[in-house]
Amino acid sequence: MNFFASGLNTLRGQKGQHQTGSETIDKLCDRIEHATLLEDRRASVLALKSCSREHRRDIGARGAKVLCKVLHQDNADIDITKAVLETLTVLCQPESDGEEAQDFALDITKAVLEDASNVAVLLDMLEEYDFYVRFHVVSLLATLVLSNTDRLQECILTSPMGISKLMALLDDRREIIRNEGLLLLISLTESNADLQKIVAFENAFERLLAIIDEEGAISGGIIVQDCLQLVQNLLRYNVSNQNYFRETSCIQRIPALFNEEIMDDNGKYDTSMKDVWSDQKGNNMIMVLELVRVLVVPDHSNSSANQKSMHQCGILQLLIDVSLTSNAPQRVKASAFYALAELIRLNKVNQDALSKAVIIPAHPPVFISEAHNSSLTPPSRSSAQLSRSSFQSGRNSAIGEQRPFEQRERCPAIVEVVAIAVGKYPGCTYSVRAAATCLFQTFVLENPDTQMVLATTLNPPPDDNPNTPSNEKPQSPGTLLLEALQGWQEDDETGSTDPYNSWFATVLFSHILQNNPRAKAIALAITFGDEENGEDPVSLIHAIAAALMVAVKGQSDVRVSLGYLALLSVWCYDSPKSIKDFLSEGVHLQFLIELISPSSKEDPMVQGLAAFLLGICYEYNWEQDALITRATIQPIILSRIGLDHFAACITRVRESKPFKAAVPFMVVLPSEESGGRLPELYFDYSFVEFLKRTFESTQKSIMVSPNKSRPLAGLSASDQAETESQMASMQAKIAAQDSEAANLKTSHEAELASLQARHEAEVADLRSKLDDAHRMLSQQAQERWEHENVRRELEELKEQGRVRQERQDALEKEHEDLLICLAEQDEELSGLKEHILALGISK
Amino acid sequence: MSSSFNYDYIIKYIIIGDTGVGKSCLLLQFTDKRFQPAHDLTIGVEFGARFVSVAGKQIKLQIWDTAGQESFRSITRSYYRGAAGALLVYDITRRDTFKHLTTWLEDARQHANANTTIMLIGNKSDLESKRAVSYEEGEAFAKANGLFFMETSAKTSANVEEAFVETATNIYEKIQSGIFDIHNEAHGIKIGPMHTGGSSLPTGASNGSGACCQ
Repeated sequence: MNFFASGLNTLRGQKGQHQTGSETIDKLCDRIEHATLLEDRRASVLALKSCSREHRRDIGARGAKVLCKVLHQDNADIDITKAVLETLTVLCQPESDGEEAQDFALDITKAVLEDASNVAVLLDMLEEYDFYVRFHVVSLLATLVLSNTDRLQECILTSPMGISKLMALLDDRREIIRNEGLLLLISLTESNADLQKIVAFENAFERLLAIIDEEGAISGGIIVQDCLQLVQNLLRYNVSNQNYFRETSCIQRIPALFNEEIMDDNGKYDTSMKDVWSDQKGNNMIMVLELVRVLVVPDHSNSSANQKSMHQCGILQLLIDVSLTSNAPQRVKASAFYALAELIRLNKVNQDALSKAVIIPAHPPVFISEAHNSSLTPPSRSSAQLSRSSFQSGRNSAIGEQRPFEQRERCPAIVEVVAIAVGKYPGCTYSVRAAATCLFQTFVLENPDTQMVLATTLNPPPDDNPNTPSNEKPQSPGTLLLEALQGWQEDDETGSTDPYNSWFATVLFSHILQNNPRAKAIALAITFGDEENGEDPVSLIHAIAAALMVAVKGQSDVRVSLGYLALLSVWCYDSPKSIKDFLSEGVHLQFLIELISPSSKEDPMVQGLAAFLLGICYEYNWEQDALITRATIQPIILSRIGLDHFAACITRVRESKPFKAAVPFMVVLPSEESGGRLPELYFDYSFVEFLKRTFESTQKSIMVSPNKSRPLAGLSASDQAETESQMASMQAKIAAQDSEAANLKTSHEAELASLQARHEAEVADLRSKLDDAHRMLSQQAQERWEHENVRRELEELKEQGRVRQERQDALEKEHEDLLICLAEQDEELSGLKEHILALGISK
Repeated sequence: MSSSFNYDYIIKYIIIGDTGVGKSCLLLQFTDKRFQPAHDLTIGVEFGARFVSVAGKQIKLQIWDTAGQESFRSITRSYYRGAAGALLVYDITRRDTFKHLTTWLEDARQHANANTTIMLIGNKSDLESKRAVSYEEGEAFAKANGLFFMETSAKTSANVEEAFVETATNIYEKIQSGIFDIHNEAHGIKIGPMHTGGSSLPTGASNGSGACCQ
């Protein structure tokens, strides 16, 4: 009991006199620092611990440093270590929310973290198996990370084995330690990419996915949520880790996370919990959906590869199931819609997969209380009195009696998406409807073929064979849209006053038409009213204009008017034919002008969009035989409205709060719609961008003379600017490609030239060799020939010689003969001479 | 896709060495078979992966390419212990990178697993005219320190494949002779789902997940 006595003595003071707190603390610190006996140090630490809460200020930074020293010195002693850890944890935690208390805690944290070796020692202590040591080390680190994340991260990075030891916490069989370790890792990896990578290197994905599996995937507890949070921290904005995640086939393990079949005692799968959604299960599922989103964020280099993997391993289908066929809570469904939206974004294969998907909707069929009288009243063309019938007459619009709560028919997934967005199901929250709208947007984004297909569905699908038992009327995205475009008018009939039914419908419809002349042409061709029944056909664009007029005159919610105006602007933009049709009803122009005129009391945003629409109607009014021409419109704008007021209208909408508040991914927070309020959603982001991009040229075009001919075949002045910029970028691209091609060409040419040169050199070489050979050969031939000649000559000579010899011989012989002859003649002569002589003598 | 399931082993590598010796280029040449002359400075570490075949076994190499700069040294040390193979790279045209090998090796010896196979690589062998470290010197250093040795060129790809594969071969031999504890992933080796015998993974799991990717 030595340490009790000594502790007491210290507190009492040596001579028993009263001591102040700070004196006592100083003494204790001195003892901790200088005492030679471990027991003394331990007693002093325990004493310090016991007064750490009351006297934290006296202990202060000095005390903290002294305690850290003990950690280095005496970490073999578990008791003293535990006490130090606890004391430090108390000191580093702010005692209250006050600023001063926070600052004090920060100072202490700073003192502890000043020397990175303190952290190294803490991490080394994790090798200790003792529960309390491990637990208190983790608690202290968790406290430190809250006060000074950056510095703690730095310190941990200086310890090569640090992360490895922290990761070992995940393998601790004692759940408290594992869970605390998990939380610590979550805090550490929130912002530091280096730490994220090291944690991933230490097989974090494997380990975490294993824990999630063990805990029962999404039906597991909060630990599953934490594990998923850590996985997300490691992946968010971290390309290297995303590569690693994909390369280690972890994407293929995501589908298992959706799986909640629990094996019961008999080895059978228990699916009874499938439709039960606890809060925790909802949270877990949202984390899984967020994980999907993290891997396919827009414009990320990895997203397209990840989209492909996800489709291949069935995640797309799982998302469709959660969002459309499950009975998951709405917040989960909203999350699933967003995840699905990003999974198909700019990915043709995935977009097609969604368009082919067929589902059994989770929502019970809508029960229509009052039987629709399929009114065939001919719509009046010249007034704003067009009612719902303008959309429905002649189209056999009655939805018909439906029995509630029966098994739904299978229908295309996209039909259900539209049905949810346009408010077909009264129970749907705006969050879900906004999310479904987002999905629809990425479904048609840069996909003109799909836009076309959707436009054609504006014509109603054929009725089912009357003999089939189905009570559901076949629906198409187009017919749902047409129905919803006048949904706000149902006020008096159903008590519904939801302006968003038509608003969402105008947004979806805009996405079908945007930048797609062919889709616009199809929509333009749609008319209502059965001529055979004596009705005047009314075109769709007129019906929408009429609905707009009713909305404005009927003082309905401003969102309704904004939706219609935005839709008409998108429709008429760069589409002279649409403008011609729209303005063929004189009252429409009249109406727009009244809306904008300085005396109008309309909402500034409505005025702004009306001005924008009117501007478009002037800018692109190029049809030759239009009823209302540019020459008619320009003086009206200049005189009755005034250019300044016109510009001011557009500026006011651009500067309005809702316009500025629009975000790329349409989101309605649950808090926004609580208490039955309408969310602050007035503009779709893509419309906001469209207006920002084009309003300036539209505004300028008003000044252009109405007689000026169309700038370019098929193009207006403002569009030209855009086209020009596009062309410029195209040209730049072409130039880049050209230069690339040129580079390639020059390099090729150089290569070719060098090859050719080499080739030529070789050929020349060969030729010269050949020549040489030739020469040699010919020389040899010559020589041989010469040789032959010589021989022949020689032979000839020989022959000649021989002939000559013969001749000589002959001559010699002749000569001899002659000589003989001569001799004979001589003889004869002498004979004769003698004869003569003899004769002479004788005479 | 399905190929990513069919591995017998996963082996973790790290690439270390001075800045600018061509570590990232070696990895790029090995994984993408291309050469990028102006490679950005590596920040921290980057990940790359590729399959190789050793003795008829499919081995997936997971490679962590580390930053050579001194300021990242403390971060890169965290990767030593979990790696079964290390490529220690110097530049044959820069003598100082060769001189620093001792420091790198000390670092590796201190932090890495004792069984880690280290391959010494003299990179940029295509720049023969600028050579500042002879092949014999490199070989001698490797021999003195018990390392494998090769000269490579990330530019021409000479010996790049061989360097990675030979390291894998050596590690595979160590696995076969039981030097590595393949059930402890901290040693940088993971046994694959299609590996027959000794696999602790339930085969059902791998079959199920493989099936959806075919």
